[in-house]
Parts: sequence; C-alpha cells; structure tokens
Amino acid sequence: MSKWIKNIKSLLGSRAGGIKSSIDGLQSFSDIGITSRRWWGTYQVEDGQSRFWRVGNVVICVDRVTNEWHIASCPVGKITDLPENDSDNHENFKIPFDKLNFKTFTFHTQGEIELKPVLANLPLASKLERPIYIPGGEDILLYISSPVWVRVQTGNSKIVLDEIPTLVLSDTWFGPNTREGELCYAGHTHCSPHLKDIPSGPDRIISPMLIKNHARELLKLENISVPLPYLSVYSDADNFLWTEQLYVYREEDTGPEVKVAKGPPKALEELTLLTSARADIHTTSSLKQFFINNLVWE
Amino acid sequence: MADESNPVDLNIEEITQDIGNALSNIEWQTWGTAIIYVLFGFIVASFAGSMVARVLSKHTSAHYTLIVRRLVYYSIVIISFILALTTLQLNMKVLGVATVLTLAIGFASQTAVSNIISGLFLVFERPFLIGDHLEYNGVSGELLSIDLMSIKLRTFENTLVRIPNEELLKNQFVNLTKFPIRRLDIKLRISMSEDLDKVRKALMDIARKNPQVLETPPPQLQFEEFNEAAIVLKFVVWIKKEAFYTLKHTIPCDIQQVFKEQNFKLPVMYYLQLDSNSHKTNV
Repeated sequence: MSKWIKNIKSLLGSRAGGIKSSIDGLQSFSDIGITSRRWWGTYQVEDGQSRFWRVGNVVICVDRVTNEWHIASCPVGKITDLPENDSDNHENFKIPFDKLNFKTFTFHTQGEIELKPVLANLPLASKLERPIYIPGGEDILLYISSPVWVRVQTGNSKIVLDEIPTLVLSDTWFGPNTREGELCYAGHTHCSPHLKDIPSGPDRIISPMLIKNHARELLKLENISVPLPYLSVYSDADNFLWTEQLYVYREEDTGPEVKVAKGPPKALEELTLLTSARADIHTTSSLKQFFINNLVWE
Repeated sequence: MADESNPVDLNIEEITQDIGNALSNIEWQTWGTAIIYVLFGFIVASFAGSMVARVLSKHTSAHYTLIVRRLVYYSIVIISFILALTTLQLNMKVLGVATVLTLAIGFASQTAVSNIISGLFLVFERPFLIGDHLEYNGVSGELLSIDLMSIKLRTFENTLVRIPNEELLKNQFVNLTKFPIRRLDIKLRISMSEDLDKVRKALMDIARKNPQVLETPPPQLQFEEFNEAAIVLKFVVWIKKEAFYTLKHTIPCDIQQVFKEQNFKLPVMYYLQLDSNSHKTNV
C-alpha cells in the first residue's frame, strides 16, 4: 500500500513539477511571460457616437443617439471592418446595429458608461483532464480559469444595464445524484496545477485553490466546483484578473472544510478590487455545505 | 329517564330564551362598539397581512409568505371577534351554546371541514410550493395559491382551475418542478437500414451544441424496441426545469433539421388494402 502511495506521489511530482506546499508557491503571469490588456473602466460616449470593446471573442458595442443608448454584443467575426484599436475614437466608423440584437435604454442624466468584469451567476464545475490522487498529508494548488462576464452600467449612478458573458458555457449538474446538487456552468479543462496550462487573458478570471488532504486515505480529485457567485474580482499590475484564494481541507473523519481567504491572494502584488462578490457568505456553514455536496466527489 | 341521566341537559327553549334575553339587554352603543371592533379587526388583519407579506417576500419563498400572511390575518380576525364578544358581555352559557351550535354546523358541513383539514396537512407536508407546476387528473398548471378549501392552478392555457384540498390529499398528483432539473424523453423511430452510430453521433452533437442541455447527467440514446418497420429509440436529455418547456419544442425541431440534412431514413409503413369486389390489391 505504502509503495503504491509512493508511486502516486512520484507520479504527481512528475506531472505537476513538484506540488506547491503552500500559498507562497502561487505563480503570477509575469513569471511565465504572458501579457494581457485592460478593457474595463469608465468611458465617455458623445451624442451620435458609437464605441466598441473587444473582450476575448466578443465585441461589446454601445451607440448613443441623444438620450437613447443601444447596447449590443456579438462574436468578433460578425462585424467586418472593425478597426484595430478599441480605444480610438473612430468618427467615420458606425457599428451596424441593424444587424445586431441590441437593447435600448434611455437616460439623459449622464454621458458615461462603465464596463466592469464580473464572475458568472452560477458556480463553475470544472473537470480535470485526468483524475488527480492526493495522498494523505499532501496538497495541491490548482488554478481554475473562468470566463469573464462584462457588466455594463451607467457611469455615475452605477445602474446595471446589462451583463454579457464572453463565453456561453453549457449548463451542468454537480452533485451525487439528480436530487442533491447544484446547477453549474460546465468548464472543460479550465483547471490545472500549472498557470500556463489554463486559458488566460483579458477575458479570463483565475481562482487559485489550495486543496490539502489531512486524511490517511487517498483523495481522488476529478471534478471541482468553484462558487463563483461568492468571489470578488481583482486585477493585478499586468491587467490579469484574479479572485480570492480558496482553501479546502480534508480532515481525517470529516468532510472537506472550506475557507475563502479575505482579500486578494497575498502572494500577488498590486491587486485592485474591481467587483465585489454577487452573494455574501453569511455563514461558513453554508459554504461548507455547498462544498460537501459539490466540491469533491467521485 | 334519558334526560335525568344526561349531565348536559340542554333545554332548547330555555336556551333560546336566554340568548334572546342576553342579546336584547345589550345597548345599541355596545352593539356599535362590537361591530366596530370586528370591522376594525378585518381592516387591521388585511393591512398587517399585506405588510408581513411585503417584508417576508424579500427574505423567504412565496409559499412561506402566504402561510404566515394567512396566520397573521386569521389571528387578528379571531382576536377582534373575541374583543367584540367581550364587549357584548355575553355570559359563558350563551357562548357555550354558540360554540356547540358552531360545531353542529361544522359537522353538518363535513366537506368544508374535510377540505380545511386537508389544506392544513398539505401546507405542513409541503408536497408543493407556490409557483410549482402541478399535474392532477389531466390538468397541469402553475400553483397560484393554497386556500382554506382549495388550491388554485393557472393552466398553461391561462385558465383558472380550482381543486379541493381533500381531492389532493386522497389522490395522486404530480409535482413537475419539485427538483431543479428534469429529464426530457424524445421517442424516435428509425429505419432498420439506418446506421445507428451515425444517428447517435448526430443526436449527441445536437445536445452538445445546445448550452441549455446539461452535460451532467449526460445525454443518452436508449433502445426501446424493434417493431414492424423501425427501431424505436429514446433520446434522453436533462434540462434545468425553467428551460424544460422551451426545449421540449426546440430539440425535436433541431432533430428534424439534422435528420433532413444528413438524409436519415425514417421508417415507412406499407398498408395492404384488399378490395374484395375487384380482387385487386393496392399497396
């Protein structure tokens, strides 16, 4: 038995290049040389002007005619002749709103609009490419990548006008049976012990999750559900988006204990809070219950 | 003899006379005060019920909101009646008789009592909540309210159906939205000559491309039976309950479209028509 565990340990070591034993091992994107760009912020839209922003594979378009605002989104390829740079003021370029499904809003008190990154409104259930076995006393640091949603709100009064997912994920059910569990979004291969292996960029939010197995038995990790509605969004100095650190402890005879760290991951520098969590964690028990039902099961 | 042995000797004439005397001795101002108590009780009960519902609706489900609202309403109404009776200063004998008469009326209207009791059982057993979709006796619709005597359903044709509580307690009904996800079964008849692997792949692609079809539990293609001209299959997908009725109509359309594109053959039944007069056979 001990030999078997030893083999798995060495296998994990070779797969993960040495599993990080603590949160201090958290990587940043500057360590692996990947860059991103900022798209969030407050923007002035003049009367008669159209503006657009690319976020991943989605273009968000805003058009203002006096007090009437049109907001639309579409895949990048749908609008031909889209100028290279989002931030320029393209006076001659008009977004073809007649070809898009747009929503119309009317407000006359302000000429500003704000774009913010938010997390999805349901948890994200990620399936690992292959199951990972965590022997007793070991731990693993996983990075989970979630597609960002773009919140469009008015500049001054912060009234939310729309929320646009940059990637439409399939629904899925996460739980031991069809009665107990939770509706989630399905995120394939969006979870890995290596930061470079997960999808990253301006349209992605990364959640670090440290899982510690304090029990003697092996912990088989196959599916993970990340409670996105309970997490906030931070940006780092390189314009990458992060959530709080999640800690999952499995004790000897109990189910997994779960904690969400207060504030941004400390190992990363210059993090700025962009959006608070959609839902508050009133009691730790509610989150624990969520994880017992949803986090780790075979 | 029977009267002598009965400890509760009710002389109806005497009691009627007592009640008449008691009521005739009450001054009209006292009557006015009692009526005002009752009317005021109804107004306060209605107002308090609305306020409680408004506050609770933000924190709890419509089901609990309705129950608490009813409790508050009826409690205040009962208190106002007690206040009114106290104002009238009716003696205990009269009140006792009134209670006995009330019970007698209650037993006389057994159906009503049965419905009320059944309603209480349904409220506490909680087989459904306000807003659930129920199916009973061929009728299905959204549950609007659980009332004293009956529940009210709004059917999908936008009609109102009243079902007595007693009926629901005695008989089988189906709660279509008890759990967050539902299974949609679509029966398909495929030609015997068709490649089933291709059919399976096409159907799985339909499920995969539709983000509202759940990935887990996975979609399945199940064998049902061989019949005269076809293989009968069942395509099973899981859907969140809110999207069930939409996908119930869109997925068959998608299947029809894909089958058309990929030229899947559907089984054709041949009927023999025998014409006894002309001795000819038409196929």
